[in-house]
Amino acid sequence: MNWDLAHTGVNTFQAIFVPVCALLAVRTGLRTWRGQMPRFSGVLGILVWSAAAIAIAVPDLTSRVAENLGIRRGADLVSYLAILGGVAVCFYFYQRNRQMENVITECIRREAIRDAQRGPCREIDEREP
Amino acid sequence: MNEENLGLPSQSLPDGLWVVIVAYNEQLRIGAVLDDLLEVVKNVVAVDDGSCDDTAGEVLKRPVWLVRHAVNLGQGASLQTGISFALERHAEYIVTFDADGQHCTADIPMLLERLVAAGADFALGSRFLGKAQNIPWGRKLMLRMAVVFTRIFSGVALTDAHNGLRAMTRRGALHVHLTMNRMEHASQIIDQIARCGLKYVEAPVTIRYTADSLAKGQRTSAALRLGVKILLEKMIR
Repeated sequence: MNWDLAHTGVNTFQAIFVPVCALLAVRTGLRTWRGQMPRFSGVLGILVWSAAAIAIAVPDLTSRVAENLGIRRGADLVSYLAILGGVAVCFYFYQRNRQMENVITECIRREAIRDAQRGPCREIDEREP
Repeated sequence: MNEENLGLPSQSLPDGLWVVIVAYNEQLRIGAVLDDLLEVVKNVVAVDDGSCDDTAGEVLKRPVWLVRHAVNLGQGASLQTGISFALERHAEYIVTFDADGQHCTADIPMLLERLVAAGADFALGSRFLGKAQNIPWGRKLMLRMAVVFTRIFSGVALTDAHNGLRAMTRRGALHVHLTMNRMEHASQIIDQIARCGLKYVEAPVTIRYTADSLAKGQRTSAALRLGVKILLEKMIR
C-alpha cells in the first residue's frame, strides 16, 4: 500500500485525524438529536470537534486567526485554547464531583438519622423532648 | 421556652437545648466529655462519623442519642447531621461542641445567655476574646489568617472565625445548610449567616489545647487548601 499522500496535498496526520474529528462531530450530533445527551453539551461537542477538524485540515487558518488576535503563531493559539478548555473541563468535573458528594452525604445522613439509637435513660432523663 | 431561665445556674437551661457533638475515633476521650456535658444539658446527640474504634459503644453507655455515619464524611457533614437530627426533635437552641475535650461545658450557659440577651440567631465562641490555653503560634497565625479571609470573602468581622463552640436558635439552625463536608464548614456557616442576614454575637470561650487535640485538629499546612476549597465552592454555588 502506498502511504505517500504528498501528491494529494494532505499529510498523514490530516488524513487520519480530520475524518476522526469529523466522525466524532457527527456522532455527537446524532446523540444530541436522539436526546441521548444534553443539548448544551451536544452543541458544545459538535463545535469543538468541528473546530478541531477544520484546524487540522487548514493549518494556516489558525495562524491567520492568531495574527488577528495579536498572537504570533497559530500553535500558540491552539495551546491557549487547549489550556482554557482543560481548565473548563476540570471545573466541570469538580462541580459534578461536588454534586455527587452532596447526594452521597445526604443518603448517609438520612440513613444515620433513621437508625439513631439512644443510650440507657437516667431517671431524670426519661422523657423525650 | 422560658427565656428567664437562660442565666446561670446550668440546671435551669431550657429543655429545648440540644448539644451536637461530633466524634471520629474518640473512644478514649468521648466518655469524659459526655459525662461533663450531661451535668449541664439533658439533650445530647453524638454523631459518630464512621469511627473505626468503639466510639459508638462508649456513647451508648450514656443517656445520649447516637447517630452513626456508615462511612467517614467529615466534621461539616457530621455537624449538619446532628443539627438536622436536633431540629427533627424540636430543638429550640442548638450548641455545637467538640468531642476532643477542648471545649468547656461552663461556656454553654454563657453562650446561650449572650444569644438571648442580644436577640441573635448565633452566638459564636471566640478564643481570642476568652482564653486559648497552650495554643501553638502556628495555630494562632492560621486562625488570624482565617479571620482576615472571612472578613474579605464573607464580609463578616469576627475575632475567631473557626471556633467549633457556637450556639444557635432554631431559626438560625434552619438557615444552615452545610454542604462542605470537612473543616471548611466553619467558614461556610459564617458565610450563610452573612448571606441570610442573620444576627450574630461573639462570646468569649475557653479552648484547651492538649497534645492529643493538636494531633487530631486542623493542620496549619492545610489552611491554603481550605481557602481554595472555600473559594471554589463560592464559584459553583
